[in-house]
Amino acid sequence: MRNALKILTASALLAGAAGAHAFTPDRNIEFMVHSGPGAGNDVFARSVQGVLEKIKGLPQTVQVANKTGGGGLVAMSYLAEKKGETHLLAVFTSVWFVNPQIREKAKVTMRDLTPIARLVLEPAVMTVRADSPYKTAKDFFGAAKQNPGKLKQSGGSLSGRDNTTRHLLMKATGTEWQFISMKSGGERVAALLGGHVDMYIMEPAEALEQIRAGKIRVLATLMNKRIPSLPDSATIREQGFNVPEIPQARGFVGPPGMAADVKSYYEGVFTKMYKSSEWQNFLKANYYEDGFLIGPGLNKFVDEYTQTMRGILKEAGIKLVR
Amino acid sequence: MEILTNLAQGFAIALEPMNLFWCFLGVFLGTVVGILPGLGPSATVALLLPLATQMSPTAGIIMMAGIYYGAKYGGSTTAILLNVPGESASVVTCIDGFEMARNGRAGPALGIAAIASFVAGTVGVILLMLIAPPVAEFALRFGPPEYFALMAFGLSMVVLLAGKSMLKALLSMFVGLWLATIGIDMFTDSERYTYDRVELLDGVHFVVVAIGTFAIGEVLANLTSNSSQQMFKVPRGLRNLMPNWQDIKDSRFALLNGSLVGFFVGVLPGAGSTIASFVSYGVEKAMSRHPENFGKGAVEGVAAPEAANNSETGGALVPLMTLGIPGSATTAILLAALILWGLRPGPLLIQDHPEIFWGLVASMYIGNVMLLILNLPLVPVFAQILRLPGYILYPVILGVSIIGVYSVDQRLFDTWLVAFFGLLGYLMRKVEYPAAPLILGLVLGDLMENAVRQSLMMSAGDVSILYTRPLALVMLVLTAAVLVGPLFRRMAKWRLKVAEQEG
Amino acid sequence: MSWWKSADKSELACSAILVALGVSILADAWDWPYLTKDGPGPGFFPLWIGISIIGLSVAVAALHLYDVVRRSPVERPNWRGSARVLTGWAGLAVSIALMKPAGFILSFLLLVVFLVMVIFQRSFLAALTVGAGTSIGFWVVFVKLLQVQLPAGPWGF
Repeated sequence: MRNALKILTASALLAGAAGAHAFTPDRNIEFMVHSGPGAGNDVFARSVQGVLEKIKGLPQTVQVANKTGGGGLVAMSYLAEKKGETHLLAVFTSVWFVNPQIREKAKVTMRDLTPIARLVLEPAVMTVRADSPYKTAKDFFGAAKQNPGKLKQSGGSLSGRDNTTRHLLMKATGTEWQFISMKSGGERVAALLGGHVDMYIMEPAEALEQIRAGKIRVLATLMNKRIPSLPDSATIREQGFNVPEIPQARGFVGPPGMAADVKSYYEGVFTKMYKSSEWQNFLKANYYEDGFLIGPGLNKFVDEYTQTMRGILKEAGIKLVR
Repeated sequence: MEILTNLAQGFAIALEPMNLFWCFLGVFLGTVVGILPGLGPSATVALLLPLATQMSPTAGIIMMAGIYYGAKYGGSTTAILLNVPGESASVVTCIDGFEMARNGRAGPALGIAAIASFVAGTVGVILLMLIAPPVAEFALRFGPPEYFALMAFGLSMVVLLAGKSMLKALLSMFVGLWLATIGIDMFTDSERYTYDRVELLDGVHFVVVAIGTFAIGEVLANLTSNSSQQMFKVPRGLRNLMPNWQDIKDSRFALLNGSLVGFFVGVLPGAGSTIASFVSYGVEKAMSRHPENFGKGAVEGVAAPEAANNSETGGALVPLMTLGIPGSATTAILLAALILWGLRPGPLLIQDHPEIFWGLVASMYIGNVMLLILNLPLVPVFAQILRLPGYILYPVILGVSIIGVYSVDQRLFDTWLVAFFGLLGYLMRKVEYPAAPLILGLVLGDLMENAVRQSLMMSAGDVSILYTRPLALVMLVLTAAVLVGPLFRRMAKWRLKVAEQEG
Repeated sequence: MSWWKSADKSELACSAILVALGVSILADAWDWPYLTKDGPGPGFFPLWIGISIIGLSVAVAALHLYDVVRRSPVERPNWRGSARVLTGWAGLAVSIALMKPAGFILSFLLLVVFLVMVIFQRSFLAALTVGAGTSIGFWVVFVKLLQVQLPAGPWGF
């Protein structure tokens, strides 16, 4: 009780002195993740938590909270309800842009919230098993053209990146192949390694070790520029196919209408982290592309990315609800 | 020979005092979260990830794996004592474990669960050590058609779970299959049976259904009278609180069967320990000379699923260590930890960092011994819980159930659901619909639907893909054998009757 | 109509409810694509699940009536004490409803006091002791030691 009083008076003082003193967190900070423990986002949040701890980026402890449900819907609406909360941030991914466009129940858009920082971009590579007859993207598209609907790609949900990329590739090449949804990343890679599917679009972190072990081969990287960790793999554009890149973006977003001093406090925290060698090592270890972006640039990205995803979803034939 | 040198090096690493400490901490934490329902190993391992990444990779992986297999030990405790399945795989343990407790044999049930966990945990490590790479290659031959056959085999276990009426068991399973379809359909992104509730988009969590129908249903069924005697008798004397030699002898085959089934199912990404425990229970019952004892407190009915559940850990580490593929939520976090240490998990991990693999393997031998030493003395202590009078014990069960369900996703919607399923469980008990097939259907339902739809996408609609691949065919033949088995038995009985009447 | 008298109504009611469930499953599944060009659609499995539930529940009811007509001994569920069960369950439901405004600890305490007094007919003192003991025990173990987040009331627990 006494503690509660202390906090109350402390925060009252802080609020009163907001003009003079900038915001500093006075209790635990929560990083909310829309997926369960072990999923990509969860690991990302915990990595950021670890780096911040190492560089003492925050005066308070960070807790990662998993708010799963509805492919991100539950987390998004939870955040939207927490207007005025200063100790809660959430990890956003492309799902946060896609959901409001394809799901009736997803009423919260990224614009309604307070985007704080974009931290990484994850490139994608198109891979086949090492003993596959396809050596380049062209081989694969050629085979797909000869046997429409016969080749198979493993992947996640229909609104996920692998499927939207597939639609872009099919459109650009006038071909068609199957997309087989599987629940977990493990199953998708296993399906490729076991020869049950012909192609899988994965992230470099997943791919590099399989390449080193001689299990898989890269047909093309799906970015505009070559990926530093895969200097020998030609991009899809170099191979003559005009396909826009869709990187997976990850970063942090706050509740709606976050006060300017709070927002700039967190921007400062992430800027400090971005400059640390610990963060740069983390990026390298995971073959992430640096995607650091804050301020007006981030707002512009949010708008553009929403529009890009909209176009891609439309082309992919996924029904838009708004 | 090479294995022995490697293993010796592994033990040298695992026996370092600090590593021993981390191993103990891991298995201890694991036991605790295993005992408490709702708190799974994956959440705990995730919670400790920041701590682990500050440690050396070997120490970290030893601790995190300790939580993983330690939680499997604890899972049976509440299942046997309170009919509350602590984790998915313990649903099967409830069936005979709780019956044993009802017959005053809670101690032996807990004891055999600990012994089965130890034996199978160790077998799992031995297999992981000896045959990981070839088994991983074998597991890759499992594509959607093979998964379909495996799930069909799993579902066929319903005939072995049936009580008096096969029809009612089937009905229960079909309702479970329906519950499994609730949520977003992965293949079309459309919603099914969500009744406009956001909470249902991810479907009904089976922990909610299991705790509702088993634990709360049991409590409600016991409210019919106000007798405040203790729930069941607990015999005095240490000897009656531990399994006797006969129990262990009866469980011999169950231990072996569970260990093998658990390991091989564990190797398959996306199959999981629940299937392993159901299948091993079914195999045990099908092979038993006294199948009529199952469901009435057969000690093998506890040993088999608990063994399967524990050797599954060894199996699940196979694809992680040899291919860099995580097969479950917990192994996915272990994979993340390996990446955070900068170790590049993949097919070359063991070759590049033998100290991690062999240190882990050695620590698992040690950890399993620690767990046995930790758990066996607790058996008589835990068994005393049942001495509590009903008016204390039932509120405790309700509280544990509500907390367990709420802690899965921190939402009150699930506590409403568990109350609903509790009432359902009570009614099912009254009109004799068995609850286990409901869980079986719920757990395997969407795996099977996914496998069928994936298979037919692979073959562009040609159904023959489901039964023409050799592995799938073998499993389907087994499934048919399980399904037809009881029919034959019934026919033989009928013939006997006819013969008697005529003669 | 003697068979109707001797039939177990609860058994038949269950079948009727299950038939209704099956019909509702079927009705929803009817509108979803049954087959797509890629194989079974989202409606495929629910459709067959619905049909199976209807078929099996009709069979259960028919078998029961057959047993009744043949006058084979039918075991009937004993519904005595069900009123108490329903009362207990209602207490549970009220307690869950209270958790959002009042937090887990208080709602659970009230539930335990209710169960011990009304269902088990113990004294108020015994009820309060058990209620306080279990609530505080849960709070210490789960909230304090294990940091499990439970619904909290306005007073923080």
